[in-house]
Amino acid sequence: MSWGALLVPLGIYVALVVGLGWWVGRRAARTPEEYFLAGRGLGPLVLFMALFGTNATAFVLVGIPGRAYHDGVGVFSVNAPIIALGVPLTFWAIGAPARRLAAELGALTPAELLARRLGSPAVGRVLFALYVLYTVPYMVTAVKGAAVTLTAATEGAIPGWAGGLFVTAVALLYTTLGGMRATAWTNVLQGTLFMAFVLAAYFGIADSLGGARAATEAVRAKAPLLLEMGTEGLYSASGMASWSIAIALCVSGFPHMLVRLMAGRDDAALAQVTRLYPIALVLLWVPVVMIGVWGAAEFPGLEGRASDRIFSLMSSAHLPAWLAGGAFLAVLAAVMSTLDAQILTLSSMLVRDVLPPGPQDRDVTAGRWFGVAVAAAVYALSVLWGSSVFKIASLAFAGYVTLVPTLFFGVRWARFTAPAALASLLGGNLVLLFGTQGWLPTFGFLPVFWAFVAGVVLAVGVSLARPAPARAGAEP
Amino acid sequence: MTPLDRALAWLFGLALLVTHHDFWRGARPEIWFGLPEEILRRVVWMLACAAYLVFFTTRVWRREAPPK
Repeated sequence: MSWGALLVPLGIYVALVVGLGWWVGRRAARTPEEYFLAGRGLGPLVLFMALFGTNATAFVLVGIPGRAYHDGVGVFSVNAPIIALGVPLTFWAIGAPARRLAAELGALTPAELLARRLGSPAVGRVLFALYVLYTVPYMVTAVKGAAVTLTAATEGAIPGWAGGLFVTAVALLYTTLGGMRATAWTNVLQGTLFMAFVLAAYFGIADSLGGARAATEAVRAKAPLLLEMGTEGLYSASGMASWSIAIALCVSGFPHMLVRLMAGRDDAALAQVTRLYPIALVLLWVPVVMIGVWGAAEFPGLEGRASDRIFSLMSSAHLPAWLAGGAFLAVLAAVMSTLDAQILTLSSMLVRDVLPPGPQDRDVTAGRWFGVAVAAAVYALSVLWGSSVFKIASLAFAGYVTLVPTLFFGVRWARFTAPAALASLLGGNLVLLFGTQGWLPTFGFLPVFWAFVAGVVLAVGVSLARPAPARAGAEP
Repeated sequence: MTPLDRALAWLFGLALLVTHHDFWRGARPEIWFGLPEEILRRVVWMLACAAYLVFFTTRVWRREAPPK
């Protein structure tokens, strides 16, 4: 697609998200609670779109169809269903008590919440360090992915460095203009754009192939195994069991997701989001997986990561030009809706978990400057870091799971202690590191499974081995 | 939340987990509504999951009063 053809939709998109950020920010009060948590007042619809937009990354449009191209429908089976059950249940298990306790204790970040709840700044510092360790590579991959998409969509007219800079700068601009409320409302726009395009692409491509049945029949004729779930590796019983834990729980370990849950208006809003989640996942995952599977019959022979282009190849081949251009905007929307949340969350953690307490005005100003610093650092790393970042980022997802026992017991269990939190965080991460390096036997399970088990055992064991603590905040 | 609600929540939740990890699965070659049987079956499971979450959020999830 030519640069000129992209200019108009891209310009409209940027004007909309920046305008929305400015408009929302202009009306907001200048307090840290408003800037970082939208005054803890997000209602069901905005909260849902903020969570779903943050959760749905560009990986869904790029990586998932690419995996489905090679592995077939099993990609859907091991991911979408357990996310539909596990993620909403963590909104109840961790999100709801975290939201209530954060409001009661005046906490604006997960690390601040746990530090105040357990009366231990050390817990907050370790959580902060782990959040930064796992979130920065994740952000770098998003910027790199967006840069590659922009370069490919403009046939090289926009070089990678410029594409990454553009995406980071736009996300930073509307985030610093309006804080959490701006990112939540832009997520409504981005999520709508993203979902509308995915559904339009599914029906458009199916129609072009003679209907969904004809497209699937073509796959059955050429590669019938793609229509069945495999039995090896991730698709084996033990692989699926340990992957289910990782994929269902890692989302509640994302600081940018937990912070959004803490911004919910009340439990009713969280409950409404919980009900909507599975339906939205069906509407998102069925199209992206089926387009990848259909692509295996249409464009056979793509090797390795080359299959990550299958969504754009199918869009270009089977959709009208204006709709194919939507693929590019959808990827940008998915990247930005996650990147904005991560910039805001990391800047809030730098202000609240690193700086000494100060006046409210200072926190908002510092939050904006820290947002600039975080975005600049992530952009610089995206230019300097090689492809090894993708390996580190895939480890980050498992790393987030090691935080879940501490988050869960921290907001749910009165007997949970600060030493137990430290033991769980450090022990779980050590087991993960040793498991991924092959220094520990894993008995057919993924290392993240044992890291999670170690985190739970240490959290419970160390808590029970010490006297019950005095606790800040009402019991959930 | 009554004891029956709690029991149903556990029972329904465990049933979902067991049927998700369908270790007895075999080949599912049929195509329904343009979707492979494997995907359609998982979509039905997700709709059952949505029904479970409606029950869960209505009957099990204890909520605090909304702020005044």
